[in-house]
Amino acid sequence: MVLPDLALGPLSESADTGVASTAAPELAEAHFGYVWRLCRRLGLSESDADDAAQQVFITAERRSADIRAGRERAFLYGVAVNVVAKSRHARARLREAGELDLDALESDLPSVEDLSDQKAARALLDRLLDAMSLELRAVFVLYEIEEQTVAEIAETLEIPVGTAASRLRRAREDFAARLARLEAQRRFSGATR
Amino acid sequence: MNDPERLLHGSPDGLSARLLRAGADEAPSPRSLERTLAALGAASTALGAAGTAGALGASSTAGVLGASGGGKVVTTLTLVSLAKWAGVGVAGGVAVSLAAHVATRAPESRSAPTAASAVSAEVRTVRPLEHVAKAEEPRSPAPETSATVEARALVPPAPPSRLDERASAPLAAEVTFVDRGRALFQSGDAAGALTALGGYEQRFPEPRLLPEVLYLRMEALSLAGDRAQANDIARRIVRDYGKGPHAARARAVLSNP
Repeated sequence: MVLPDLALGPLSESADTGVASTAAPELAEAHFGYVWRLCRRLGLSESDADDAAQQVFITAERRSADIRAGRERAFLYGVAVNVVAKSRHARARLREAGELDLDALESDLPSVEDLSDQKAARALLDRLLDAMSLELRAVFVLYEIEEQTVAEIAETLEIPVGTAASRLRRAREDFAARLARLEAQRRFSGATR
Repeated sequence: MNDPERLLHGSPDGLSARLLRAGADEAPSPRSLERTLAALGAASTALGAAGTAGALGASSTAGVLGASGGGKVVTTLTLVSLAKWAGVGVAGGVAVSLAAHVATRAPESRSAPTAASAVSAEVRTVRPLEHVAKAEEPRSPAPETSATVEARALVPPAPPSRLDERASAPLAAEVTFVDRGRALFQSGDAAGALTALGGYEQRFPEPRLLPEVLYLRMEALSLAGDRAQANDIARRIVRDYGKGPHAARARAVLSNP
């Protein structure tokens, strides 16, 4: 999932001139998929991800002078996380807040056959990710789905590489444990049918 | 330090790889990107109109914000970005180029014959963004007043110019108008969107969001299966806004058999 590099001319000039509005569409065309997927994997529905991604790029347009050359993804990530957090907070106010109930998560699981359907697979993936802390989830998503390196993730999140590696390790353990539990649940469900 | 092997690249039959691949393969719809580009383009278009008219101060933009409080977040952010841009005095050069753009878009004003001359008159007579930038400075005396409450709170009362009233007041209505059409379109109600967007040029003699309206009409007509009219509008977008953010989509519509 390699995205094209952004032509940085207008943005790199923006700090001096403030005129960088023409770069915003280029930014969107280069990174829209990345931002949108990030919004999805951080817990937004497709339609909410549409709105959130749009909001991210409008914010980027407004703050183009703040985007440093070569740090576009890091900037977009930071904005996306804030936008997602606000969106989720708004949704959370509409329902009872609290940790995701694993029992509820494990009920109504897609069958193995269902998982051939990408949509069902994504739904299960998102439910697993929902049970993760945002701190772990972000690293996990950036590494396992967006295929950024640990060093890139550290730069994106502005954390030490060692911290990024540690979070990734914990995130993978967390994910594997929840997945194993789900698989056990599915086997049990299959055996009792 | 070597990165660990990604679960995504694990056994294709493994559950974790399948789940992660499903996540990695997901992509936004082309329309989602188009809408974002349209929103970015609408911001630029509105900014150009603001610069052209020279009457949309940051304070009046804030008034618009209040007036459109029920609108979409995107609209709000777009207008916030207008205020920000105007406030930092960014848009001088952009305003000049977009002023030319507005003044030369006579073809789409056929249904409102007086619109082009009205806009052109404003281009000739109004000072561009100088007072817009000043208006955002706290407590600085504004040489010209806007019609907003906030402006009245910040500057000594003065009779608003007719030009200011004409240029600033309708923008909120325009944004609301376009937002309604966009919302209907996004909900899949093509007929409703077309109805909502109908009469735009007649209702707003200074159609600052016309590219966005044309784009939405084109998409709604496509959705409704009216290819002939969709193509007509697509041709108009390509002809009049060939370098705008909607042109690529319009060309795509035209290229579809």
